[in-house]
Amino acid sequence: MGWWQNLRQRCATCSRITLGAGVLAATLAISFVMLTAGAYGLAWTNTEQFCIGCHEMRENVYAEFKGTIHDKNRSGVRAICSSCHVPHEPLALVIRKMQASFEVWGHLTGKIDTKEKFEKNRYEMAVKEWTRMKKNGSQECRNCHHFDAMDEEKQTEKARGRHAKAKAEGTACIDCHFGIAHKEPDGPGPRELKIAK
Amino acid sequence: MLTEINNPPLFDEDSRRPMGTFYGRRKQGTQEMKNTKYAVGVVLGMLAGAVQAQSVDVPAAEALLKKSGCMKCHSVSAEKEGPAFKKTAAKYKGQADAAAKLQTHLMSGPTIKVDGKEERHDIIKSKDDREIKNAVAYILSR
Repeated sequence: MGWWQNLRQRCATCSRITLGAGVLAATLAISFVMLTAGAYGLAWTNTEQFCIGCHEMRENVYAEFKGTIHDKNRSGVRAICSSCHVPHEPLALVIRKMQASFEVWGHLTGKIDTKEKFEKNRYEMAVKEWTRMKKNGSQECRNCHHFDAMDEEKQTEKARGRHAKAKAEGTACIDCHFGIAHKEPDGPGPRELKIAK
Repeated sequence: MLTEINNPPLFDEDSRRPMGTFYGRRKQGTQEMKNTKYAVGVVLGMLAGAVQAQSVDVPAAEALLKKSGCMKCHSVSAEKEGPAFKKTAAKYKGQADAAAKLQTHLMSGPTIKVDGKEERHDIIKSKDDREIKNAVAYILSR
């Protein structure tokens, strides 16, 4: 407790309680600032502006996303990049963010910095995301689309049948609803991916 | 044979022969003819490719297929409730009446089987013959 003795010597007139309260208040204040800054930082990396800050995203996947139902629709409710590609649950979110920081390496080394390179890697990237979405049962879709809240009356007969089957079999949304916001990659789809649940 | 593939000769045997000899000219002539034939073939091939590429308006076809809800059950290359367009294209490959058959399929709403249950296939949402033919050509060229 060398620091405590030091502190007491520095303020000989202060009581132990005053000093203790001061230290506690300072700790709380610093923690508050750090937590808030961290939360802001995390939230900032979830914004559309951040995601399209690099041309790889802006000129490929974002350009494809523009005009789709998740970008523009009659009610104006949007799903931005992070709505679908970043978990909303805090721990899963932090883990995904850490993984994403390794993807920055790909940006720095120019792995997908041209249209050709992007197309060459599109399938591999899609499979990674499909795998993630299959493993968590397409949780990011279900953050907004709740099976139980769907008004079956408003669905077509075909959709009703397909959804009932998906519900019974526990199929992930992405198994059928892929290539809806971005170009469909050339190759076998999510349904053909064999993933241990 | 194998040795030749693994160790190709460093010099072209013909190039060592003096030009102007009967052998040299004859050989060169034959090679030129071959080259010309090859070039004609390449040009024809490119033309054919260009005509085919020109005949399919990809964005228009994709827009119509999306509007008609085709992509709900079909995809270009992946497995879904309905067969992938690539599978359909392979199935109809080499058939002279492929386009006509597929067009009828898209316009008549035939009864199909999905997961063992019978249902009616949706009808393409267009009345424009050219637009539909373009979509058909798109599917068949996947």
